[in-house]
Amino acid sequence: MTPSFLRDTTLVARFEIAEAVRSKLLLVMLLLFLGAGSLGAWGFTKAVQRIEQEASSVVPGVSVKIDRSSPLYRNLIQRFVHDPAKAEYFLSLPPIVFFYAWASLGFMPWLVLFLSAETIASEVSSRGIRYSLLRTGRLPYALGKMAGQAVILAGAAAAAALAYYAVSWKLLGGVEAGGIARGMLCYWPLILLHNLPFLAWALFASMATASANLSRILSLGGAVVLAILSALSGWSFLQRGPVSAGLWKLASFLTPFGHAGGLEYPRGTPFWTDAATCLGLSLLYFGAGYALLRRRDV
Amino acid sequence: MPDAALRFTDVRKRFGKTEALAGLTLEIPRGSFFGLIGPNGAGKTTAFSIACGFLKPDAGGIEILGEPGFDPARLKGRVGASPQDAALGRETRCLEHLVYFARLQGMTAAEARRQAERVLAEVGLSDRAASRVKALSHGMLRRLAVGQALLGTPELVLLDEPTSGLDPRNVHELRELLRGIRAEGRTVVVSSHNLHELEMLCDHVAFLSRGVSIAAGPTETLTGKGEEVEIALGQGPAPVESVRRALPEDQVAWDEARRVVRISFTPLPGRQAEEVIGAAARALLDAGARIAGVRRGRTLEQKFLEMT
Repeated sequence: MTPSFLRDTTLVARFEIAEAVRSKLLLVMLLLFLGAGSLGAWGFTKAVQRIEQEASSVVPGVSVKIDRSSPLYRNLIQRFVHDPAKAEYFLSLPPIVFFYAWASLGFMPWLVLFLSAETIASEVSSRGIRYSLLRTGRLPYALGKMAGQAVILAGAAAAAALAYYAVSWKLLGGVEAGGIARGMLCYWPLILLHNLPFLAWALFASMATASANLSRILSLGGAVVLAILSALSGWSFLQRGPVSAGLWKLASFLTPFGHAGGLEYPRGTPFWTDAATCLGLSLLYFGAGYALLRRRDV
Repeated sequence: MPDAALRFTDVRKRFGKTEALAGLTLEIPRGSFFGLIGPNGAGKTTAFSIACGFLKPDAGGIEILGEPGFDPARLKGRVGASPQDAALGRETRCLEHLVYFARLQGMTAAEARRQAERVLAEVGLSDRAASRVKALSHGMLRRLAVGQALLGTPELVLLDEPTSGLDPRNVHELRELLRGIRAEGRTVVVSSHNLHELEMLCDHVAFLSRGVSIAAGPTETLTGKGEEVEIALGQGPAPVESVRRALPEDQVAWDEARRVVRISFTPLPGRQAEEVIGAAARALLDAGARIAGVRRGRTLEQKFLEMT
């Protein structure tokens, strides 16, 4: 990697971010993530308050607080999470942080798949890519686009975290403000890491197609297929024999879905395995997309 | 031959059933102002796109500034090109675009800004530096596209239909700008449908038809400027026989419809076009003809129509 390569990659990334700001794409992303974050936090806190009200009406005069020390919340988490150590970790987090992590790991990838899919394909379609490729190679160009989108994603994820924080502060009256902030700061990079293979998949779609619409279809459609594959791989009746089981396991491993579990609990081997898998898949998808872009006409 | 700025060797390119280039072999000399001429679908834009590395040839090869194929890392800042129909980001300002491109060519931020401002002034868009691309007219967009090809000091400039959509004043200004580049000794390759304009600018041309070069060389040679003379006559006598008697070694033809005497000759030391024109004019005037105009060779348009 030469200094010129790094310089070009940085220039393309900076221009990508600036273009996103100018085209209002960044604004749309921030609003979407802020909106989703606010809605999620509002829904969660309202649900908590409803449970509290119903619980206190069953036992009149007794106030039941849904916080991490509440038996109701403890039972809920232990029922969902079978690993006692993992359950204890989640119980150490303010509930809104747990919900933020769960919702972001589950839903943010779909926004990424939708919003980042057109980044290269639209330039191929308009032939605007030609102005850049006269001056730099296809690899620094594609890497710069990916880096720019990753920075935009980081900003959007931070916006979602801020929205969660602000809404929970407002509705929960500032309860555990420090703990919530620390928890979100801990999950923010993990959410980014989890979204990286999805971003790489969107870039793969963008490098494999020559129109923004086709790219979105491949990005989202392909992700739906991968999600189905990942879900099917958990069904034991499909895994007849060691070969079949191995193939399903491999298929599951190669999809970006199914790696959120380890990232939710940043301790031990499953975390490091899933973190490494997310990075590996990002490289794999990006590499496959670049292999197509390198050979194709633009 | 190391003096070629750009060389195509048996380049083939197919889009589905359409063969855009069918074995193009062409050499563009360094320092020349080269015109690529051909009807729509002749392969001009495909040839440009292959030279710039946008399209991959199915077969054959190119050599560009001594490099085997377009490598942006090795040719950084040495090749400028204005691709046809390539859109610039609509929300980006003109100056921002040019600064970005200049920086990608390896310039510092300050140098990139200087170059961007210079180019905007050269293409007459200084007052549009802060305008977003979406606010520009078609002609302004073409000028901006040409301008980005002139950032820095590229050794080779490839301009695909640079004047399409420009009004006559802009065409004139662009022509003067290109003449300036030519004077600096850089190689410029232009494709255009405007053959009159190419004739005024280009010292070398190639005719492309159905994906191959059917003729290429110095403009003077291809248009026969050194071996053909046309004399247009006004109303009155047309003493063609007098010319034939005065120039017995040359071929003299009479085009009745255009009232033109066409003389084809073999140039020799001491007997160039000027001597032939003098002898023919004397013969015509002595016989009472009225000369309406004299031209050396044929126009590119005539030659093009004859060949395609």
